[in-house]
Amino acid sequence: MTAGKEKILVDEFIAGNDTAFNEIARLYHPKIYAHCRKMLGNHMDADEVTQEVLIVLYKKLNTFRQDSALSTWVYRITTTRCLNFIKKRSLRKFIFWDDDESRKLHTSQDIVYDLENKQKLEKLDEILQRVPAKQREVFILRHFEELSYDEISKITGKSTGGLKANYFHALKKVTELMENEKQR
Amino acid sequence: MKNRDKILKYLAGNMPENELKKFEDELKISHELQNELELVTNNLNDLKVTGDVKFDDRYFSAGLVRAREKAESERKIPFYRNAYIYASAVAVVLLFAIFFNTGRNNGINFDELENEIYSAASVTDSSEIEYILKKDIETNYVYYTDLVASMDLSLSDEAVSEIMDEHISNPYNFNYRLLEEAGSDQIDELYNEILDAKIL
Repeated sequence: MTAGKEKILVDEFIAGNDTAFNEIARLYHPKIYAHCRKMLGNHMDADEVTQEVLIVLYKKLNTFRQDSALSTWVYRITTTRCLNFIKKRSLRKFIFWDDDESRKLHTSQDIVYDLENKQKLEKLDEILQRVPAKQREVFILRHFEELSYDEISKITGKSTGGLKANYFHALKKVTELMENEKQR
Repeated sequence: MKNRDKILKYLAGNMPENELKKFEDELKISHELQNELELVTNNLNDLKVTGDVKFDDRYFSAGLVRAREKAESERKIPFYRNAYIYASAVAVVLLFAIFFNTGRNNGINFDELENEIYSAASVTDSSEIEYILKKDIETNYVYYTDLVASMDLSLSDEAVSEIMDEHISNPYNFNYRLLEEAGSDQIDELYNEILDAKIL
């Protein structure tokens, strides 16, 4: 969808056409989920944050000033929510000693049923979840979403220098993990 | 720098121009570097393919409906359902207010101060206290400041400078009202300032 079409949809939604939001959500919902899934490593957490993001989009879209691309705004909300969720999850683990049972429950529910995609996700989670959250965020945006450093900078509010350093460290960790995996 | 670090720096776009030129020149001639770059990029490309997971489309078509329902239900939550959250918030605010106001030099604390000055100066009339603080400061300042010190009170920088300015411009007209309003921390600061300024 072009930026012009997105702008029209946003304007329509602000003018009161609720169905314009469906179009926007249809476009961004898979992207939001894919990002959350890579960041959080399981379906239940990714689903929770995705729902939160969609609700925020619905409630706040009328405040979107359109001085940046809609995708930047959507990613900004998504990345912030993911990082906050990770912090909360760590606290929960620390305070309530998240046991194996609840972890199993988190990983047992999924929206991927075929073996090939399941294996892909397992491999992906095994690697990405071992990269520190902030480096992981930059790695996902750059490597999978193929965003430029400038775009990532607008999303995360970090300098491009800092992002490059984060990406470098993420690359280092990821390549090490992949090589270890292959040697096993 | 090891080949691997150079390659990752190169892929991250994190190489200064002169270093980049050197790396690209080396890459043209070094088979070892070429092979290692190929290995790293292949691994990363594999990962990219791995990341391209096909999710169940039904989830996305139902997801929006669920989000709308959730948003609606959030809107419909009656006030009393969240009453305990509001009550806790009010309690926390009150606790903070009590905590931060404890030890402030208003009401009882100031009365204590007044009584102490009263007895220290051996005067019986409260108008005398006013007189001591406002007019006869040179004689009674020692009583007063010792007393402030013994009460472990203090003053903020702003209040100190305000009071000190007042005191310097007119040492016999100490700002009684300002002192009454000052917090215990602020009075302590004032005391130290007075000591530093060698007024005592």
